[in-house]
Amino acid sequence: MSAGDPLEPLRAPDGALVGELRCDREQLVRYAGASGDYNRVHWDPELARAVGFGDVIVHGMLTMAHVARAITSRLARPTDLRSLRVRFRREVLVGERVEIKARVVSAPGAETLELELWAELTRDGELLHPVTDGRAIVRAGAGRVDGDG
Amino acid sequence: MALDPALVGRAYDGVVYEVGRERLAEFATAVGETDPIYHDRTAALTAGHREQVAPFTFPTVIMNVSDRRLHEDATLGIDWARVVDGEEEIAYARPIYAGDVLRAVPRIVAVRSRGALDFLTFRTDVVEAATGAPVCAVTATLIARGGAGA
Repeated sequence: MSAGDPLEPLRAPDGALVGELRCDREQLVRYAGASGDYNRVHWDPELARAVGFGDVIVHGMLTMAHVARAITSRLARPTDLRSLRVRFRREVLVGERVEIKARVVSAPGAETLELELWAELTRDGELLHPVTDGRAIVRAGAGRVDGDG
Repeated sequence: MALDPALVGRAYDGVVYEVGRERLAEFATAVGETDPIYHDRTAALTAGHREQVAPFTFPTVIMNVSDRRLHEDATLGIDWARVVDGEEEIAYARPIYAGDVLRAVPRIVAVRSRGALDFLTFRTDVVEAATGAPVCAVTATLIARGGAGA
């Protein structure tokens, strides 16, 4: 079995798909409770429509959590993800399928690796890109499986 | 109504936050995280961590407590019901673990207005409550719709 670099596909020029997200209403309720963010726009469809959305929207921080997990799940030590910055550009509606992609950009220094990330979705036949984008800093060598486990 | 540039630098009293084991597991489940290091101390120790680990975006839970300081500040003139999340950055000095007793201190670092939109950026420094040692920092930019009308 190869002890390869799980970050290798991300080194391709266009990067790679690293995760997907599709939240149902129950997940939004669960996240509201777990995070303490009870903003009605995430669970009250009437209010969401009144402010211009087609339905309740996914918490931005929940999208960010999935972006983080898409990276940490590829690291030998998840805690090697040192920082993540994301910009929330478009809302994500409940039930929409979001694709999370990433690519390695030039490492700023020997000790860290920088990733460019973005998320996109298709709504009514139109590709929305990006709904979220950002940057991650990972401790270098973190993608490789450590010999000592 | 534009945000007052003089707000930059305003700091708020910190809040103390005790990281609970069950809270970490509940949050991990809510973000679709099944790695046992976030759910179970033994699994975390086996994987080489010193305790059950907090999922990467867990600081948002702490911020939802410390953010109350800003909500209590009526002088900001922000309609919190019309605020959306614009940008977030989480940067760690060391991981968060079950049992940590932390202090979260918010400070406004930037304000900007563009048309009917106000942008408020604040940074919350999360440190060890006992020693002040840095744990992580969260920088959030909120977008507030100033002024009346749709």
